[in-house]
Amino acid sequence: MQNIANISNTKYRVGIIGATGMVGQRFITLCAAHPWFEIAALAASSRSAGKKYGEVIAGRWKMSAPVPSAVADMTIYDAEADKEKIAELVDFVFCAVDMKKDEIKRLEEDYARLEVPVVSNNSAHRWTADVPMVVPEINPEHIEIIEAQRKRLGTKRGFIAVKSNCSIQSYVPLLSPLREFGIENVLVCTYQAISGAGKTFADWPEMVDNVIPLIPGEEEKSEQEPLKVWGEIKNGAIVPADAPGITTQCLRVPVADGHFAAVFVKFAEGKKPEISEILRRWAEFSGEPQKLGLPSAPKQFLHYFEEENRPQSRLDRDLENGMTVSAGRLRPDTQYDYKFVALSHNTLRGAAGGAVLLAELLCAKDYITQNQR
Amino acid sequence: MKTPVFSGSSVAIVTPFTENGVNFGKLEELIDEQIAGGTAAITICGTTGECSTQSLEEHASVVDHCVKYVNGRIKVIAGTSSNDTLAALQLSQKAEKSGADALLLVTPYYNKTTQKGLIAHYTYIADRVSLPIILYNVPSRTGLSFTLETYQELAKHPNINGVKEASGNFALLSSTIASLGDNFNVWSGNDNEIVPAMSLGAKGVISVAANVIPQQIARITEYALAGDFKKAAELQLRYLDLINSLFIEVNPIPIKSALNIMGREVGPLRLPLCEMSDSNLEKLKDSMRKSGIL
Repeated sequence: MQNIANISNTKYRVGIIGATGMVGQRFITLCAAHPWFEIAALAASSRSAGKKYGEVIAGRWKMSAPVPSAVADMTIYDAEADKEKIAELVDFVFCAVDMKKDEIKRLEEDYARLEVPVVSNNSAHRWTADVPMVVPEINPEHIEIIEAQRKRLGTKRGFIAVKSNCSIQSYVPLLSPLREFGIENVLVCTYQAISGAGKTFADWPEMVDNVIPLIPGEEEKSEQEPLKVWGEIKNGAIVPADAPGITTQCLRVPVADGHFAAVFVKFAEGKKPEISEILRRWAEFSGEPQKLGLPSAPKQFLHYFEEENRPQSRLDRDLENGMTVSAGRLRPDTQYDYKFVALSHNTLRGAAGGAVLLAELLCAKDYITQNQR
Repeated sequence: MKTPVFSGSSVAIVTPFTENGVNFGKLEELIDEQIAGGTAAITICGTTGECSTQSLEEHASVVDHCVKYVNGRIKVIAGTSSNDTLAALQLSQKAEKSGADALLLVTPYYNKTTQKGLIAHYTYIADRVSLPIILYNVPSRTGLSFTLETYQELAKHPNINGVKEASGNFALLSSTIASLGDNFNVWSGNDNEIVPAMSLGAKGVISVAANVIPQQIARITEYALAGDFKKAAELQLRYLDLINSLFIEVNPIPIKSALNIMGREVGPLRLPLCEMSDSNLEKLKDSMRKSGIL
């Protein structure tokens, strides 16, 4: 492992593919203030290519902080046509694009084959068996599969690593430290913020005073992705866990940021932990990012509120810069063993922030290195 | 390019007192109310927080408590001013140790200094901390003002992030932004000048009124940041009477009174600050009623 104290001497040069979208904007905001990373290239579709970022984004910028001026003057590259050029400029890329799944798969593999590590927010490669899907506190060891992936791709540096769907990051972190009690069944209803659809109230007025009962594809992801995160590496592939059984309903609610989950959980016969034991596990749960002192790692990954009316979206989604997952109202249930509520910031912990934390882990573990300049 | 410490509204939060100390429980309630209201940063222990009548120990403990309770949800700017450079440094270093995101430091008041002295005062502190520093220019209280040349000199320091401008001197404000651009951030220090300051490029406001109307002040800055100055001005003008009444006596007398009238139980003012006169109290209540907060 690299000496982390030395990492900041020269910054890693970062490319952002999909720089004009909402997650791309979050990546820009996070990288502009990052101690290890500096933005070296921005890429988007051919429509935006060749223009200045500041001009293209005028009227579409959705972050509360203004566009960093250094970024506003950068010329946008074409994510498809300028791949070779981008590969020369960067040490790795973040990818968050709005394209067809097959096209995204190919695009990300193209970058990997050009020896560019790809840290992806897209879902396209989440079920590719040798692509790690990582929540850094939960399954950091999955990044070891990258060696097998590099063999398949025939690369030395290039690879793809992905983060999981934003919806599962409100409940999977809280279930993870309880797995040894034999979780059998989980029922989750998610209440998901509109920024998850790349929208604000200004551009989605139909969401005011409204709930939409369908988020296409979300329930499948919410039920299956946890099993890959909890999976094991066997023979060059990540084999998903076979339990627990998870059933979900995912609703879009009129909240700007922060995905909520109402969670019901049942443990194996005779293994049900006490409430005090669950609270202790949550309070003590910490992982590789905390051990390594990664810049985006929250000090307290899981925060339990004793107050009955917490967590709340507006009050608590930004805990530790939006990287802490919070929970409350843990209590016995009549059908399952326990129920609780949970909250995670969907575009920070759940998207760009989680991907930045994953990139930090990959840097600290030497999977991402600084390219020769 | 200096990334602004915050964009939008930062509340210069009052410090709730008991008869003999700080009411930390109330402070936590006020902080949650601000976060729920869309405030971008808490400015703790500024003039409005009655830092002038806090001991070094109490001052440091309030900053520390605030940082821990906010816990990264929004930014915390610690007021660490003193007209004794060494005392200001001491407070600044304690705030840094507590984990504050930035420091707010007013120009030396009463003893005052020269422009050369201002550069020396701020450079001395900025060299010894690693947090971004926001300068604070308020000649009506301090008896001296920065000049453009002094801003230009101080902007060269990597830790000096910008200035809270409460001089009301728009010639100075506009020439500062024109000359220094993104290398030096400006925030309005006056609630009645948010929109004009932001129309010239200020990044937001450090606000007294946000103690009682956090959402409305945040909204003014959101409209302005999005370039919708018509809507921002409408709101600025709608709350102008309330804002003026909040400065009918020396700040923070009216704001702390207003919070107590609203039932927030922020406790007494510390001497030399005292209760409002009866006639001014009636004017304040009248403005609060008209603006719909009472």
